[in-house]
Amino acid sequence: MVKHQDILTTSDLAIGYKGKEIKEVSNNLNFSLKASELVCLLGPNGVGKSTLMRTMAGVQKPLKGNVQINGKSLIQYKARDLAKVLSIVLTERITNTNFSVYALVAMGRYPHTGWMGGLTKTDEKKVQWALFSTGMEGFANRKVHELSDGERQKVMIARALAQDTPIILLDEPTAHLDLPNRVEIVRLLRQLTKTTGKAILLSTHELDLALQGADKIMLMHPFFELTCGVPEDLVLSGVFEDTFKRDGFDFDKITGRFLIHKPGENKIKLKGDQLYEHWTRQALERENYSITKEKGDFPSLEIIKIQKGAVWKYTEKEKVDIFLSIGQMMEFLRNH
Amino acid sequence: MDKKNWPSLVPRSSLLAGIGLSVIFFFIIDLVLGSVRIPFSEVINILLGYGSENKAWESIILKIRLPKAITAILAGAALSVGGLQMQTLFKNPLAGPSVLGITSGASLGVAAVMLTSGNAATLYAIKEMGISGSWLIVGASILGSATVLMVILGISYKVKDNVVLLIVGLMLGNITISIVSIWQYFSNPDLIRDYIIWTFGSLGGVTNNQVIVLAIVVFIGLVMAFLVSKPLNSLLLGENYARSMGMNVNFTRIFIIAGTSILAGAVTGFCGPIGFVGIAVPHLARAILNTSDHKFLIPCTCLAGAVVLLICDIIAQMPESNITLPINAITALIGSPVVIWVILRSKNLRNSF
Repeated sequence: MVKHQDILTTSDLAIGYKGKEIKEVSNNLNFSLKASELVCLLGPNGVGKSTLMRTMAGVQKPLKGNVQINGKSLIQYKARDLAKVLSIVLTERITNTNFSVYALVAMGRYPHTGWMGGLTKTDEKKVQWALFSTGMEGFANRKVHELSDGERQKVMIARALAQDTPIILLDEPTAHLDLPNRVEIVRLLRQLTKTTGKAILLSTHELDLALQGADKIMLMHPFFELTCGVPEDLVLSGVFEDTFKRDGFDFDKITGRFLIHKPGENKIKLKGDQLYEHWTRQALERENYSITKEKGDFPSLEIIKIQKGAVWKYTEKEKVDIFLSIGQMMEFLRNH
Repeated sequence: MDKKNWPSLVPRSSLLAGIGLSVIFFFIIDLVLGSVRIPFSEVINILLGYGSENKAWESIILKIRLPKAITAILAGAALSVGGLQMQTLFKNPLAGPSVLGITSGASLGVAAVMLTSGNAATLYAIKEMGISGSWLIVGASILGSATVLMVILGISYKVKDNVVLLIVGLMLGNITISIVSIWQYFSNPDLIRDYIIWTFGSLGGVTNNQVIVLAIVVFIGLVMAFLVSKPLNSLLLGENYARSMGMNVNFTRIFIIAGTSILAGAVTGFCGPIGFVGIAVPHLARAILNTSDHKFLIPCTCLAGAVVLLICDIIAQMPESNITLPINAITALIGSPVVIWVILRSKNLRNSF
């Protein structure tokens, strides 16, 4: 198998809904998914991430254009054949079912089993492999309704793995999860693309996770064309900045984060140990201060490292105050 | 990797055998008990074909009690499996075989025949054959439910949303019920009485010939239900997941609706509207097996439905007395507390929907 070949390509794809009138959500979508690649789909709410995923999965028809999987057009696939090449994990939380984890994951074998859904030895091997890959083998006996949200999400991913498809789409798999679970799922998916050669596309709102974990990022925006690229290229080319600026957000190229606070009016000088400076700066910016390097008669703050921790030395007009914590200092500045 | 003990996908199947045995047990009890006391040994002899000295007993067992008990088994199984399919399709624990308006369609058919007082031929047919034994009534009832079925199938082909479909079904039921009540309002009181008796439901009105027809139709419906047990399982994850795993959603939906309609329509046609069983028994089966897997739920529901309706029939015929209570009243009276008890105890209703 040639690595990194295109598995799924779209051409001039327009997505949306056909009702009494056609509501186009997004158009002119051209991209491809390659084997062994983890692609993150980013974009604001309502831009059509879920619609795109549903269109790629054949749940709804494209308004225009084409989706090709393995060189064959999506509409030529029968439901069952499509389910053998593409699996999906949806945002919708599955309502409680009285299945064991093992039985639920085994349902992923649906397109491969006969009309009664009986599992062959191969099927069972796949199910067990899926459980091991997601680290859920210890939960096999548990009922699905006893699981936490994170565990449930992993079970649904295991189910998609058991379906054994070269493409997996995940619609916001990290929503509702806490940070460790989010990191774990992205790590898991990334590892899967490398060990199994699957192409995995996930939509997410976690910019930092996408920047760190994705091989490629697809950025959807209502006013710009779909942009694809390696995360770092997108950052350096200023695509993120431009995209988010339009919505009134400042994207910091260096940290890869959004700036929540506008630069403050009160200027202050800051110097000290790098780690302490970083967090002191964050606290100051929250309180409407901005750090300045200009020359002039500004108050200054110096962080002096001591054996355990540090002290903050605040100097204004030759008057000196010493604080033992950021909290103390902020209290002082607020009442200042 | 192979050394690990993987869970079995087969639930407590010994329980299935247990319920199977209790079907046989209650079937025999149902034959033995009744307004006329017949010794157990005689009943067995008659069943085994040795006959009995007492020709009246032989006739009671073979012509009245046997078809009635078989009807109870068939109706119990059919309504319960129909209810199970509807509950899964609509993901609603309160759905039953009657939600699609099929039962009320049958009522409309029967009302049309019974309440058209001007029609001499109708009256004659009913008088001659008795209300319950009449093919005319059965025919009208099946025609009525089939009409609603066609409408529902037509709508389900167009409407993709199951909740919308559920509401449409309920509304269709309401329309037919109101047509019937307008009809009743302008009808001869004697005819209304006959109609009301029909609405009480009856297992005893099915003749030997009709039982064969009922059995064939119910068998077809049950096989249809069993054929879709795999899609039914995947529907529990939601339609989108089912589709993404390769299920043909439209075909499956129509197949399930058609199967349920056949089951509910046939039973209502022959026995009148029998309530409660279809909603309650699937919950019993889930509580017994503690699974959502339809491969096992369907057989379990089938057997449990048979047992429940047999027990209801035994009570309804008030052994040793000349009174027979309407089966419809008994199913709800006896069954509801049992279901409440089971659901409160096992708490897995909430986990199943």
